[in-house]
Amino acid sequence: MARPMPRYLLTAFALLITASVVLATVFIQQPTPSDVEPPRELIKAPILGSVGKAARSDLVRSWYDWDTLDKLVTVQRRERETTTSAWSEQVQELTTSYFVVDVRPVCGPNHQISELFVTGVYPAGQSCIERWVFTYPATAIPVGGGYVPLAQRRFPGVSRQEILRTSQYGHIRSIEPDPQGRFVLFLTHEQHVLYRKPLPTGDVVVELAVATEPYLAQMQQVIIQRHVTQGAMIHLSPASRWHASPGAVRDSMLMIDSTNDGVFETRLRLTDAQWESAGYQDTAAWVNLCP
Amino acid sequence: MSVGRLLPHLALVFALSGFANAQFGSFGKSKPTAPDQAAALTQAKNFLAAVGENVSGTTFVNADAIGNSPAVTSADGNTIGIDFDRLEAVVPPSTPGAAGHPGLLVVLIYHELQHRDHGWGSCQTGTPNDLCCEHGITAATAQAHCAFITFIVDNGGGPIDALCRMYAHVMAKYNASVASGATSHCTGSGPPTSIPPCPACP
Repeated sequence: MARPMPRYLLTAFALLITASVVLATVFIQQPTPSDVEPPRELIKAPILGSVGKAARSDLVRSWYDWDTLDKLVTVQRRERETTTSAWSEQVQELTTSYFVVDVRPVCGPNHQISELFVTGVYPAGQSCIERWVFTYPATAIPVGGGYVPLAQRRFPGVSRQEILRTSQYGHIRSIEPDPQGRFVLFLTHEQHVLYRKPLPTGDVVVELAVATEPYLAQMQQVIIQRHVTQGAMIHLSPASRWHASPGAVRDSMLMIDSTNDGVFETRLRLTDAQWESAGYQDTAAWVNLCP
Repeated sequence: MSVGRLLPHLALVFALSGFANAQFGSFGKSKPTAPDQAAALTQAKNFLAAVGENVSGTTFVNADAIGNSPAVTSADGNTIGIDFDRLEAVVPPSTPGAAGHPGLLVVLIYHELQHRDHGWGSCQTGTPNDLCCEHGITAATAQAHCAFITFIVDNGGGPIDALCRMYAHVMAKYNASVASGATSHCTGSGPPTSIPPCPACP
């Protein structure tokens, strides 16, 4: 006949099991580094057709898109041999090791995306900016001639260069490369500062701070545009990059570089009515930087 | 969108008339609207009006939207801008049923009308609920989208390739987004955990 287990042992077992359960629960609930997502305002929602459009011609078109939490950037290209041919499509998916928050293109002379600037945040909290340069394969004419549809060609090569990786500026909300490659602008999320990072190298400098322009705190995205007569402009918009949102804040800001020397000498805040009276709503007023 | 009310209007073809480009302010740049785009907008608007959506007083423009928005609603809710170039990323013009995009516009405008009529009360720009609101409206619109396709199929309607391609795009985006944790940010009762396949689509 087995002896009953002493009470102190039972108590010890009970305590051990309880402690194990508590520890396991704590361990399971403890967020791992990969759980540290960007602030929710920076996570792109599944908006219908919310893609960035880039190069566009009768024969070649391309778009780009990203998925914040899946850490994925997608480049979609379409091409056709003639204006009456069927489109052929190529979708290039490029993964990252950071949560992607914003992507902006630079277009090349042949109606292609030549570069992408990608910003995001690593699970450990460091923000980053990368410059991705695409190398397109020659349009292969096989032996015997004939057009090779885009879908049958290999993807362009991608060379990734890290421009910035730091926790110094908090989260980056929006980026915009200079079309001439002289710098990249980035707008921060917490401090609401517009910075400029010279390219290929150089120290980050403040382009505009909220202390100078309090309305900057309302801005959600930065865009560089070129007016046909007034020069290059930094357009700061209160609308989200991926979904224009009606709301109380509607005015835009423009910073104007009339000589395109990289110095934005004038700053304006414009209501919708002022925007219209200046003729800025007219597509013809702007140079297409992604032809 | 009441499916039962669609039947009398399925075959409606509206003449192109009176489409002027409105000014679109800083939300985007209005572009000339091509005749087929204007015709599609007219059809979509009239169709939605016929099924009970309030589109009177709303101006529709072809917008070169700032940012990546496929459609934008002005702050006063009176102007909806459609960026046709972005729609084309989802559904190329050569896809059967996509010419002029009338069916696609019905879905896209319906989505924007939900923002105007229901969206902004509880989810304001820049707040955490904004993302949750977008998921909720996307899921609700998908339900109407599938009902729209089903109705067309049940009544021997036209090609549904474009509408189904658009539905698949939304479903994939939404489900991936939810699966990766986006809606964990929602407080209270969040939107559905997934958008199901539309049975009427192949």
